[in-house]
Amino acid sequence: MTTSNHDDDPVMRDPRLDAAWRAASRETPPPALDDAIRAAARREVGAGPQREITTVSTPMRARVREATRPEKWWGPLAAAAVIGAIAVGVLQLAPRDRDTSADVANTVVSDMPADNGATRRDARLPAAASASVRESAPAAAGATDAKANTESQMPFRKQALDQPALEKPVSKDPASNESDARGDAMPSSGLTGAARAPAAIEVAPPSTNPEPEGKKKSSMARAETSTAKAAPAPFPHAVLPPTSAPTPVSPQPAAPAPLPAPNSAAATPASARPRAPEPFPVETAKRAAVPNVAQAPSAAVDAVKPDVSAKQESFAVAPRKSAVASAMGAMTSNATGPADPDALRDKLAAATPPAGTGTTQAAGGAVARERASSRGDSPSLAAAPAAMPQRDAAAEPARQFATAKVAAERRADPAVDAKAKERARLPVADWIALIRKLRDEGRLDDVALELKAFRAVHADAQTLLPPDLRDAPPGKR
Amino acid sequence: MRGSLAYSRAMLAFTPDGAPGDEDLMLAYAAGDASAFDALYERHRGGVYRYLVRHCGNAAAADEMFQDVWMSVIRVRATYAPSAKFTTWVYRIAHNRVVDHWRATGQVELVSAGGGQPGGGHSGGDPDDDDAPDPLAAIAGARGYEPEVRVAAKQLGARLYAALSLLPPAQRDAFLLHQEGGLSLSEIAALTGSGVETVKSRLRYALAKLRTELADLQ
Repeated sequence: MTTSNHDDDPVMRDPRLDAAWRAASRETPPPALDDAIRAAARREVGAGPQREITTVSTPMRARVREATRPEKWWGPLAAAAVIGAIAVGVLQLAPRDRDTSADVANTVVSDMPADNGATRRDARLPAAASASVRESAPAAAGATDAKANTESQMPFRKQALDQPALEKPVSKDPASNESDARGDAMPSSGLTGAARAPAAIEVAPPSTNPEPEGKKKSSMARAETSTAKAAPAPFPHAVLPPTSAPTPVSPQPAAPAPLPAPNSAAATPASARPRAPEPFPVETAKRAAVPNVAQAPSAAVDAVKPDVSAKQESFAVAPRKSAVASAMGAMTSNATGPADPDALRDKLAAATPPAGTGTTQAAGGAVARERASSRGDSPSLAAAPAAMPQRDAAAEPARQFATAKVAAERRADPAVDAKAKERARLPVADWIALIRKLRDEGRLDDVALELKAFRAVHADAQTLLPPDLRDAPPGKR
Repeated sequence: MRGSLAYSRAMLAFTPDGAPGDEDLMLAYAAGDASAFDALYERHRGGVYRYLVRHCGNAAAADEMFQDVWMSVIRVRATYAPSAKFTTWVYRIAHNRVVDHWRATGQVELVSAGGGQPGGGHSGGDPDDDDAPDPLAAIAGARGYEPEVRVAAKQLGARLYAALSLLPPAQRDAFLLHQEGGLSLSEIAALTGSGVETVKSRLRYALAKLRTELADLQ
C-alpha cells in the first residue's frame, strides 16, 4: 500500500475556482466581536491593555499607543484642587474686616442703656435714629476721665478679664458703668472703639493667667489675632499720657508710638511694677484717650470728618501694619528668652491706627455727621453721601440741609427725642396716618411734634411725607 | 509565568517569512503572552469566520459560533499540545461547533443559502418562502470596499453560496476545510474522522459540481 500526496493532485485544485473563491472571500468578523475576543484573551492571561499590535498598520499602532498611554488627565484637576485648597486656607487665615465693623457698630452707636442686647438692637435702627446721641457726651466723657484715673479701674479690669474678647466690658460700679455707657454713646465712636480695642488683649494677660508658659504665648497670639481681626483700630495716641496736649489727627501717617509709653504706669519697667494692682498700660491709655476727646471735641471731630476719613484710612493703614509687624517681630524675636508680656502689650497698643479711620469709619460716620451738623458745619459734611440713596441729585443739598436742621432742633427738644424713640419702629404709612389723624382732630402741637420726630427719624422725610404734610414747617400745622 | 514566557519566546520557531509559527504563538499565549494570541487571531480570524458563515449561511449564527470557537481556544490554551498543526486544531474546534449547530437546529443538511433556489439535498427551509430574509445580506462580507466592488463580490458570493448549497454537507465540509483552512487531505481525514480516500472523493465530487455551476465564470 502506497500513499500519495493528495494535496499535489491537480484534480484537487482549480485555478479559476480558487480565484473566484478568493474574490468572494471578503467576509470578516465584526470589529466588536474581534475586540471582545481579544479582550477576553488578555483577561484570561491577566495581561493589561494591549501595548502594541505587531500585525496592524502604523496608524493603527499609533492610535493603540495613544490609547494605552498612561492617563494624565488628572494633572490639571490636581493642580486646580491644590490651588483651591491654598485659596481656602488663605481666606481662613485672613483677617475679617466685616467682623470689626459690625462689632464697632454694635457697641458704639447706641441709644439704649449700656447692656449688650440693647446695644445690638440699637445698632439696627435707622441711621438718623441712631444718630440721636446725647449732647452731654463730652461731660460724661469728662466724668469717665475722672473715674478712669482712680483706683476704681480694678473692678473694671477684672470684669474685662472675665468677658470675652470682643464684648464690651461692663463695670460693676454703677457710676463707672454709666460713664462707660456714655462713653459708648459719644459721637467720637472711633475713639471709643479705639479705647475699647485693647480690651481684647486684656482677655488673657500673662501676669494673671495661670496657664503654662507655652499656653501663655498662644494666648498672646490669640489675643493679638483677635485684636488684628475684630478690634477697631485703636488710636495710636492713646498711649500718650493724659496730661499731654490733645493731638489732632492728621491725614499723614502717624509713626508708631515709642516704647515704652510715656505714661507713668506704662513707663515703669514691667519687672519693677507690681502686676496685679497696677492698671494695665493699655487700659490706662484707653482711659486717657477719652478725656482727650472730651477736652478737645473739635480736634476729635476733625479726626472723624467723613470727607477726610477716607484719606486718613489710606494713610493710617500702613503705620498700623508696620506697628503690628514690629510688635510681632518683638514677640518672635524673643524666642531665645522669655518675652516681657507687658512690653508686648505696650507694643500692640502702640500698633493701632488712629481713631475714626479704617474700619471704624463706617460706624463713626453717622455720629460724625451729627457732630458736624451741631457745630454748624456745611450740610454737605453733615450728610452721609455713601449711606443715603442717590435719588435726586438736585434736591440732595436741600434735603440734607433740612435733615441737619431738624436733627439740630430735635436735640434741643427732649420731647422730640422721646417721640422719635417712640415712633422709630412705627411703619411710615401708619405714622403718616397718625399725623393726619392728629391734624384732623385739631391737635396741631402734637402734629408738629410728630413731624419733628418723623423728620428726625427718617433722613429722607421729605420724600416720605405726603405733599400735604411735607411742605408744612414743623410746628406750624 | 515570566519564566515560562521567556522560555516560550526563546523556543519560538519562525516561518520562512520571519514570523513565528502558529504553534509557537499558541504556546506563547498559553505561557501568558497576550500579544501572541493577537497575532494568532489575526492570522486565522478570516478563514475560520468564512468557514462558519458559509457552512450555516447565517451571519448571526456564524458570529456566535465564531466567538465560541475562539473562546474555546482561549479556555483550553493550558492543555494545548503541539502534536498537530494549530490550523488543524482550531478547525477541528470549528467543525465540531458546526456539527453542534446542525444538531441544535435539527438540520441534517445545510440550509440553502440561496433562500429560494431549489436544489438537491435541501432539507431545511422553505424554498418557496419569498419573505425569508436574504442570508447573504446579513453576511458581514465585503466591508470597506467600494459599492461596485461590493456588489460584484456579493453577486459572486451569492453564486458561490448557491453552488455550495447544492453540495452535500460532507462534500461542502471537505471543500471548505480544504479551501479556507488550507488543510491537506490527511488533515481533513483526521479532523472529520474519515479516510483519506473518502475525503479525496468528497473533494473531487465537490469540485466537479462547483465547476459545473460556475462554468460561466471568467
